Amino acid sequence: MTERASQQQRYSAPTCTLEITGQSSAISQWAGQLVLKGVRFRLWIHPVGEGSAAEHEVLRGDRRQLETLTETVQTYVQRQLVASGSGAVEQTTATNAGDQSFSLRPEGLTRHRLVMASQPGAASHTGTARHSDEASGGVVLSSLQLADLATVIDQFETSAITLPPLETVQQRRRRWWTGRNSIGSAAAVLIMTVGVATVVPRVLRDGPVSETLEQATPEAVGEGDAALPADRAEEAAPEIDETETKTDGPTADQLPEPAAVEPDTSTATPKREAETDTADSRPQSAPPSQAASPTPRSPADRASSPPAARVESPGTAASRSAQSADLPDSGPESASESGPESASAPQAPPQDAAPDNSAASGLATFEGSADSRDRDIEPAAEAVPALGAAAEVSPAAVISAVEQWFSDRWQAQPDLDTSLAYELEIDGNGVLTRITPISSAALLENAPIDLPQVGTAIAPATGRDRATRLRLELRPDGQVIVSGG
Amino acid sequence: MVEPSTASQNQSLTSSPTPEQLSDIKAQLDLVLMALEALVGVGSEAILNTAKRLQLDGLMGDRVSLWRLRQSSPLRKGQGRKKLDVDEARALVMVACDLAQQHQTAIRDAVAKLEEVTAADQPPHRAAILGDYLDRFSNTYQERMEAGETVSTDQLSQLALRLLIDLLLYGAAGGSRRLWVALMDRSRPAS
Repeated sequence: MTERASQQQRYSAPTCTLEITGQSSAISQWAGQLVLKGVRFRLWIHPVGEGSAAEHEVLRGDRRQLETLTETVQTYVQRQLVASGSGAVEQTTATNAGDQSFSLRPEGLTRHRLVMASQPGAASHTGTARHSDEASGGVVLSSLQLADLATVIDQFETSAITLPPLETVQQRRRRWWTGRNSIGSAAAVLIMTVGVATVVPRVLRDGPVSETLEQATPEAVGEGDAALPADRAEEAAPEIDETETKTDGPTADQLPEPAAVEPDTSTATPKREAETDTADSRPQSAPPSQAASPTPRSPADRASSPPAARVESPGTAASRSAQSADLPDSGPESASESGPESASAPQAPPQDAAPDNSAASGLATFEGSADSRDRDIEPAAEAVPALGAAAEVSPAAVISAVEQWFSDRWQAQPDLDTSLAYELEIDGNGVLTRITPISSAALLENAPIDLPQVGTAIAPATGRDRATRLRLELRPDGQVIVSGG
Repeated sequence: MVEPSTASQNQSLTSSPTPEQLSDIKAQLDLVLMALEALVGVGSEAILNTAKRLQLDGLMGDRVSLWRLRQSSPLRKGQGRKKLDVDEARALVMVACDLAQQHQTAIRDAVAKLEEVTAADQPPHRAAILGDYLDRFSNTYQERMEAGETVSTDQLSQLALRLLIDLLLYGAAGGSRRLWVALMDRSRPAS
């Protein structure tokens, strides 16, 4: 639906004019009357007998103040009518709404004082009505002016509907996915749990416990899983529950991003490798930084600023793996049911950093897409690649390599006011296939850097069919930031 | 000034009063019509014509039925039909407000004069229009009401001036709704 232009409505009575300004909403056609949004109002009071030439603007404000004023006036008028029958006179009518309150009180039979209690930013009392009493505050209205004020308010209420600010669908969806205790958070947690349950067992089997499974065929592994002691299988259920329980708690903000879990389990690999000395050969064929820094990528990370997605140092990765040690602990039991998933484990050693690669491959798959929808479904997809068997260079390794490539060539630029940002597309062979400037400074032809030509190998081969898209930021202080997607 | 439609007026009169409330409502409605009668000379003919125009002549089609409706006020002298059902009360509300709207100019002039003399600290009857109004109202009240002769002139003047200001609101947009709600609120038992 397209919104219409701003509209101005004027409601006039002999001693009062109410001007309403707002945007006509497209739903007016369904409401059968004018529906306005973003309403603002102005109120003029004319001295009796002098006409509009002597009008004084006494009030202006937004929708909320208008509603407060309307309620105050209508209620006061009605109470005056009720009091007329009983002889008792209503002293004060006040309505508070947010930072603006109005009150009306009678002063004799034919005078009524309208007082506005304003807070900064609220409706403003403008101008000086003829009967205004600056010392007491507010505006004194005659019975005619009060009646006319009630009349114009009534005219407005019967002719138009004011809409409060409405949340857009996009805002609601965003809140639905990213808000605390949101369904999106719960979904992310669940998907993470599934990822942990499938990835961790494979990782752990690389250790002494799973040594006997490494040499088995996939089918045999499956059978081996089935042959696991019943007590271990039984433990799987409560362990899974515990895992889910653990992961239900954190909110989206606290979670180390859904993708963080899987790579964390892979980061646990180096630790376990150190313990078991069984995977020494695994990382050797991979880029040096890959085994130690399989940096997790999450939808939040990709959406965030580049610094949040910096490649971790080996030490950082190790500490993260230590922090996430609790999560993988539940993995083996829960993975006892993974069946075919574990088949990939025995094949991992001869490949490049198998477990984390398997997990990371899912990340790399989605690094190729900058679409927000893809980011939304990434957690689920990341769990799927854990079932895969491809031994591929992790996205973190690619990022690290690209970052290193540019770091070797980028120097601090004191004359540069802003960062240079580019979007890089790298194919499965690590060759740059496209470089696109995405910042205004980068669009300058005389950007102070020799950018790599298309066709230059700047990253390790990933072996994937889909290209990897990265965001490159060259900062004036010499920093190089590379982030996925 | 936007005139409220008859349909919207009918829509606003949806709450039905209890029998106890109706007694006060009858008195109130009679007083409103009396104020109109005293200010602008609204008589039975004008009321019936308005009722016909509003398609309410089924309830007050002739002087007798109109008299019967107004005689239902418990303040009225004499015996007779003292009942007023919901539809009749609603009809009287609509007719009274429509008449107030028709004579809005005269009502506004009177109220403006009242404001002027009040601001000048003068008695209302000093203004001709107000003096005539107060006299006619007092005479009519004393003539028709059971305890009319026991009510003081000042009390009657006060009642008349209050009704004058009420007419200003009844004749404005949404007046019938205001009158109906006011009738309901006035007749509500004190808590």
